[in-house]
Amino acid sequence: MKILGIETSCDETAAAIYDEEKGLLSNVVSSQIEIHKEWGGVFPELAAREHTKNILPVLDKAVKDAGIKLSDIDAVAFTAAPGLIVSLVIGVSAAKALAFALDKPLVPVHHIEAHIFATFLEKKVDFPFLALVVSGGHTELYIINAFEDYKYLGGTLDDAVGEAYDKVARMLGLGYPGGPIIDKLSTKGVCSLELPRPLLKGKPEHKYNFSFSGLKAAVLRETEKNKYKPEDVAKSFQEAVVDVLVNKTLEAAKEYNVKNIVVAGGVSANKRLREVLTKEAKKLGINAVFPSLYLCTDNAAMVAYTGFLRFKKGKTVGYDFQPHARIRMDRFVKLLSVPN
Amino acid sequence: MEINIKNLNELRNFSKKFANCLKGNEIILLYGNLGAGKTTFTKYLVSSINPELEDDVNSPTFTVMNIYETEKFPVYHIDLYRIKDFDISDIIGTGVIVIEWSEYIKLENLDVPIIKIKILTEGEEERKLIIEFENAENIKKCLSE
Repeated sequence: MKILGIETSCDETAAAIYDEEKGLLSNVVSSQIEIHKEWGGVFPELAAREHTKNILPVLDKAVKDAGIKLSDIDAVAFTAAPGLIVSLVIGVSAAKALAFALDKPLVPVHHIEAHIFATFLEKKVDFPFLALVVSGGHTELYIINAFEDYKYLGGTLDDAVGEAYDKVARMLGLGYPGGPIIDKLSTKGVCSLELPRPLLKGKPEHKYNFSFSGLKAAVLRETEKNKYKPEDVAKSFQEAVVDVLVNKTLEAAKEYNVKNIVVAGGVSANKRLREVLTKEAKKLGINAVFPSLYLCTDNAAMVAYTGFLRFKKGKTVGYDFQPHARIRMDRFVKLLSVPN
Repeated sequence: MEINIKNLNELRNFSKKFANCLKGNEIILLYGNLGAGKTTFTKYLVSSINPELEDDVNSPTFTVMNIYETEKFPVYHIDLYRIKDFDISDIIGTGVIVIEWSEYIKLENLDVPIIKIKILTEGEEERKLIIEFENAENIKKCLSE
């Protein structure tokens, strides 16, 4: 069985083909990161225009790289949520058009779900496991009991962690994207600023929620004093972020008694997060799994694979299925039903 | 109009009063530095209408626009921090439009009510709100009551 995956939820136009027996046959990603740099992030209309331009060549290359014919595909999987709506619709329209032309079923995939299950392309992880999703648009904790059986534990109340990185990088005049820049700069700094650890202790209803807005504001107040070196600000900020992420994740792992943690999304590429979470989890006998870097950033391999899991369960949708800009993963799977 | 806010609870109360004055076609322009409370104000505004939406309201810096369907009217939550310019002509008048980082937007010759709120950081939780009204005398009156 061969599944084509299409991903256009943000600024990468991507297509990939997954084969049940042979694994990944192709994985094509066309990034727009250079185009959006001057905006300090993705500019929606520009992203949509680029997707429109790139989608056909990317699809073409995915099929050629795989060495198959379009008609060999058994189903078309696509990222249906969440993301920038103007970007999502390009991939969704392409998927629908292909499915119609080839008379193949359509399989919708949630972007975050795909990031989490991308891990399985490299290694098997036993259920149940804890998923920490960290990116420019997300900061969420889920218990994954099985494929399509997700329990939401908490998420950010204001800024996503990647967004906080971008904003702090901008305060320091460091450019975009902020994550890798701060990660690198912080290795030269010392922790000289006293910064808060938002929601680490406090109300029980926020036990697994996150808040990075207050931390960002605290960094701004401190930097305005002009007495700290940028590398020390970067280091102090990163330590505060990692502290919060690691502590909440391990707290959840203990409470739900899981032995595996999967970290997904762009910020899972952060070196300090990888180092501290791996070390602290190990002390508790817990295994922290980080996907390879090519799976941390947006790609369609994860969409093709997750689409394969969903198609095996017989879940497909009609041409009227609409993309959603914002919908939680646990709620998304409830929208899907088994075909009659 | 100037409003002094001592803590988050007072901000919540003010947002509620403010939400109650809205008809559903207003444009609310928010000004204030990082961490001033623009997203928090919007969160409280939406959750005062539908409490269950509180957790759904978060920063639109990444997505540029979030839409919350409250039982009274849709709230379009826009953030111009990164992109500086965004075409809102399609949604004007169809719901309440809240714009963070409004410094960047130019609105000319509109007949819908426009409320400009400048949020000044006075302390950890203390804020001063400086509010200006355009085509929005009834809202000013409602807030003064």
